[in-house]
Amino acid sequence: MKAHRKKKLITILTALVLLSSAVGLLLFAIGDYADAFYEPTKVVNGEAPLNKTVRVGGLVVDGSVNRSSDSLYVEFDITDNQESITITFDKSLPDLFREGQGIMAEGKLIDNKTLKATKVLAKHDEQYMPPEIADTLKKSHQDGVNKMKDQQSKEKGDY
Amino acid sequence: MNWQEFFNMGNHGLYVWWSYGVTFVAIILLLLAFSWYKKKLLAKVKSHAKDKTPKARKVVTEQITE
Amino acid sequence: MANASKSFGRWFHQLGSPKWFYQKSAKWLPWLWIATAVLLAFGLYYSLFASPVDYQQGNSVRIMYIHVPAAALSMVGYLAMAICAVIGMVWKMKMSFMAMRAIAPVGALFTFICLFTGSLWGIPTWGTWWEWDARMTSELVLLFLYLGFIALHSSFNDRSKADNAAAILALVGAINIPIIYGSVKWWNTLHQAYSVTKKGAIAPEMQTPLFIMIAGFYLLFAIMVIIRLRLEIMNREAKSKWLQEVIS
Repeated sequence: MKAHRKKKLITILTALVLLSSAVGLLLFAIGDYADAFYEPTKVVNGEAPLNKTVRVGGLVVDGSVNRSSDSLYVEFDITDNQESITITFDKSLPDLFREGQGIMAEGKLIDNKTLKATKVLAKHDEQYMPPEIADTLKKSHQDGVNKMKDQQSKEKGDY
Repeated sequence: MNWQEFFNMGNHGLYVWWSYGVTFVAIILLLLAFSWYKKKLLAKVKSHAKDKTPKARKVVTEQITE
Repeated sequence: MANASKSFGRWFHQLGSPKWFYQKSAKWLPWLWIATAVLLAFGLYYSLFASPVDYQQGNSVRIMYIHVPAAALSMVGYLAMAICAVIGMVWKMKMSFMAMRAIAPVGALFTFICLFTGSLWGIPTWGTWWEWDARMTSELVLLFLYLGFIALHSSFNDRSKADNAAAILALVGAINIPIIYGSVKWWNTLHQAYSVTKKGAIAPEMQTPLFIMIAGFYLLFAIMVIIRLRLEIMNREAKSKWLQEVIS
């Protein structure tokens, strides 16, 4: 490589390294502020501001969904597998909403355990499969669980 | 599966067909923009070819008369 | 070894010649079109008919087969543009700057397709067409970078100034690419995490059409860049005799 080209290449590479580290530092400084939502643990720890519009996200806790019989009002818990908070909502939920599903809710925190949501969005995970396979997976999972239970009760019986 | 069902796509047809449709149209539009630009460039290259030396001009006129 | 580097050198040299490229690419294009048409015909048949619905999203999962390839190419295209910028600046290769300029509109098109189909996909699955999360915002920034590049390049009368200024923008903007890619990992976003590179995340009967469509989109991208690059050559070599002879 000719000397002047080498020099130019080195200049460009140096500039790129400097620029990337600058942007890297900037991103590091932004950190959590670029998060689209707070996890329940952060809300419970009081890291999310009360009475201001915030977004929280987590998985809908199995069996926590309480629908009102005469209106759209619904209450459910979301969790990040450590802490959980309650969401209240009075509009229609997205199609993908179901127990165990990841969701993101926007609204105001009444206290560090409850969010009054004005918007609920379903968060999709990265799994894509046809319904038959999902059913089989669910079934084989259930079979496995039952088998384990049988095993356990058998073991209990043995002893 | 009948056509009705196929186009409806379980009530998601609107989103699916708009996605595919707009993608197709956008690609065609850019290709059309390219061909429109090509016409302009052809004229530009030809105009440059004309104001050349007499020899070059001769070559060009010969080809035009062909 | 010496032989290999020699033949690479020759290939690099040929690729650097507008005349060689203009004449050769005319022969490549029909074949590329045939390959693309075959891939996209198969891909569309699979993605619209022959692939199963998703267990959660139903039919709207079919948007994935154009959204994901478009997203991949929007990023790969920008990286290619940045590489062309470096080669152009260091080796003063004319063709490299021409290729850089040719990629921009095609990359912008694929970025637009990615954003548009993503929004349409978001309505039934998430319940919203837009959310200012890290992934969506950085992809929107990518569209503005492409458009900014085109605007900057066309704002100069002096072509070599235009090339150099736009090349710097292409290079600086390339920092956005790892941010787009990493956004779903570094921050929590409404957008889901990686599926394509994660083993077993996509069922095989959905992966096949997806890969066919990705291959088809790569070829389509290449075709459109080649077409635009031939126009760029026409524009810049309008005064050269070889081109005038080829055209008339």
